[in-house]
Amino acid sequence: MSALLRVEGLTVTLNGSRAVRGVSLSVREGEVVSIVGPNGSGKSTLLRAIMGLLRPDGGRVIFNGSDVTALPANERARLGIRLVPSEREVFPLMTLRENLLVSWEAGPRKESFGEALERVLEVFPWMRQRLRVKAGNLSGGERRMLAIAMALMSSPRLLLVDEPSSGLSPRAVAAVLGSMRSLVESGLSVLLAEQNLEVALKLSRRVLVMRSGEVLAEREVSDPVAVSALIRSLLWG
Amino acid sequence: MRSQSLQALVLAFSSALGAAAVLTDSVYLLRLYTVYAFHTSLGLAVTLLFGVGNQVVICFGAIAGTSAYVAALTQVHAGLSPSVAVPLGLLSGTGLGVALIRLASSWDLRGIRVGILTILASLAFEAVILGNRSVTFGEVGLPVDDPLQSAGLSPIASLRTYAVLGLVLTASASLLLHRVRGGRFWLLLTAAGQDPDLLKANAISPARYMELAAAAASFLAASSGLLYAFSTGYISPSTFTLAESDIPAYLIAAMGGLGSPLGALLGGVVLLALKELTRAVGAASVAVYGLALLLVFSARSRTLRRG
Amino acid sequence: MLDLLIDGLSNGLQLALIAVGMTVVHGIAGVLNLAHGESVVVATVTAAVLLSLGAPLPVALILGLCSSLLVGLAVWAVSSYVSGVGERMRGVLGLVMTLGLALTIHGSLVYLFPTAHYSLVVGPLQVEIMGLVVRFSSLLALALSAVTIAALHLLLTATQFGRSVRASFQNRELAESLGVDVGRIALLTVLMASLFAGLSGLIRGLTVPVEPSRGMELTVLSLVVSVAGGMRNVAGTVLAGIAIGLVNSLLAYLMGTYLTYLAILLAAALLLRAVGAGD
Repeated sequence: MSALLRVEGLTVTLNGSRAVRGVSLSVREGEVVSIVGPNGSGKSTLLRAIMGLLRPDGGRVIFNGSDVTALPANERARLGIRLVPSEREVFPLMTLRENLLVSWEAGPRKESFGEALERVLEVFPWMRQRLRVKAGNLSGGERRMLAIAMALMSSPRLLLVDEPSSGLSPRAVAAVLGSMRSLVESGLSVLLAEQNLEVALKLSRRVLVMRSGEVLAEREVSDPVAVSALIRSLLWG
Repeated sequence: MRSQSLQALVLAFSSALGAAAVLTDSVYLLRLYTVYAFHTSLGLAVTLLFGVGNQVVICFGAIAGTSAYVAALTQVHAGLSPSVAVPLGLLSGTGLGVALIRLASSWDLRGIRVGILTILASLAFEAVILGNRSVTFGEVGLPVDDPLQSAGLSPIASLRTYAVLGLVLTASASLLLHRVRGGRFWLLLTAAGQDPDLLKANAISPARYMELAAAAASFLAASSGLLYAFSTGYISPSTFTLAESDIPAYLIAAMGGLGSPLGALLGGVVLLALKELTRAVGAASVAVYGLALLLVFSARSRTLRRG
Repeated sequence: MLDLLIDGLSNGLQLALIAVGMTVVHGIAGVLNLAHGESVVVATVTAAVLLSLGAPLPVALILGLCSSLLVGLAVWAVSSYVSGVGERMRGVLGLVMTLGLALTIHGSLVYLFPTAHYSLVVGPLQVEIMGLVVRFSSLLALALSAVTIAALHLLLTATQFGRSVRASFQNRELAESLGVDVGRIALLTVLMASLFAGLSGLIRGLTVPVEPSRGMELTVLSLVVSVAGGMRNVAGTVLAGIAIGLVNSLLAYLMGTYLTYLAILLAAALLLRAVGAGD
């Protein structure tokens, strides 16, 4: 089965230094792949470059068979890629409902707003009561879940999630994890970047280890304990 | 090696101008030199503070004007002698510049907000002058007692002195800056402007270098403002506005290369040519400044985009 | 006294209209548009010239607005030019280039049309409301200003375009990664800002003649309102506009224009501090 996303030899320079060096990876339809690595390993930069928010110096990004390397972010979004950032992930002065509305309006609109809203509220039922709340007034975990919900409004094919657990309390992490797991079970393809090894291993089938802009190794998560030990030794050994 | 030949070129250039000033009797030429000295000094001030220090300061006109007005007003209203009034003026002008930079750093203003603060200061200066007509004579302007003429020099001799002093000030400032270029102070100032947090992390205070640069630049602006005012015998608020002082200063700095003190000297010549050419057009000279600004800065940004 | 209040309020609403444009353009196109006041004056000068040539009022007004749009296009050209520049120079370059544009337009207008003072006289001189006598033109200006602000509000909150503008303004990258064509939104925003600025000027002519040289002054006031409103907040800008417009009118009556101006500048500086870091 051909890959939904293929990244070939991507190199990105940020602030004068190489943040991503010749990274190649692939994500198949319905797969969840994690990139784990410490702070500054280039995970966020990689995701933003795949989304099109950053121009790479070299390499290609191929989505659903077509080369999207030259496309700006909004056109990649139209093709079905969505990025959930780790910070500044919502429109703070707009209500929850407006945030979701904007996300739906900007997308390909495969269904009516009401239908999309219902679909998303089923994953995050707590939002039903908070639709009129300004997004800036939500808690960290709620904002993160809203960001995921916004990405879902247009039924994306590939979800890029940047550090879903960062800055959240353990309870919030559990909630976000729970909702992500149900999405994953419904067949959504996900590429996520995580510092927290446990979170990554709980969600994904395949894990890439990244450090200083390079991919050090790639493993199937068949034996979480063994994989965890390997990763720890690679990153901190 | 090249820099030394550049310095020699500057020395030759300024000496030629200075000699011409000393030798000529043409009031027109002497006035031209004072105008050149005034605008180029401000251009050098911008080169230091913005070109190197990355601070968008758009109030050098107000600084020059403050020093000129304080010196003149204390003579007129408080009867102070020039030997007291002049230092007072210099202090006020320099103090204004340092105070604004200090304010900007203590309020943690970055980038364009510093520019906005200085624009507000320029506007406030204009408002204070125009709003206190009884004291400052408003738009009409303030006639100034030329201290040199009061000391007995003939009008042409005093004008000549001011022209020479102005050129000397400009040339020395330019040479001094060129000397300092690439040295410790220059590098630290550049760092303070582009990455102050990095400096702080290394236990160096960016504010200190910025204030030093502000003091130097403001002193330069204040002195040139004083000299210019005395040489014309008249202070008009319209000389020290944004359009008449700060825009030409940025034009000169940009033409000079935004960081090249010697280049600013040449930029001053171009500006002078521009001013003379547009004098015939009168009110539209503002339009010409505007176009020049657009052109020069878009040419500059082209090199920035390439780089 | 009532006239003063009405004029102050409509002055404030007009300022708000102009300042919102400046704030939004700064947030989306990344440029502090110092030529914004010229959008106002270009409309009034065009209308004044056309009226003096005998053109019907609607034609003069519409062509006036079109000339504002032209200024908007020039500003947009500057902003897209500047967006290709590195972080360090972008802000200054935008500021300096729009200032250059402003000076060019200002100088040309004053040179070519020094007598094109725009003033609209419609309807009766006075009107009686609840026993009080007020100037009709002031009341009309207030009503038109209020309606225009309301229209702007509706545009921003109830249309897809408006929501895209607010989204691009609050979080440009997020908007882009959701599919919003931020480049196109930037262009439309700049045009919209110029249009509302021109409209504001055309309404202003009901209460006071607008001279071709007023552009820079309006830019300054607009900047002050923008800064006071926080530069990250449309609602705040509107409130600041109304407040400053009222204060401007009332204080000018009491203290004279220059002292009022000084007070407003000081207030803006203090508010600059409050909003302070970042951007």
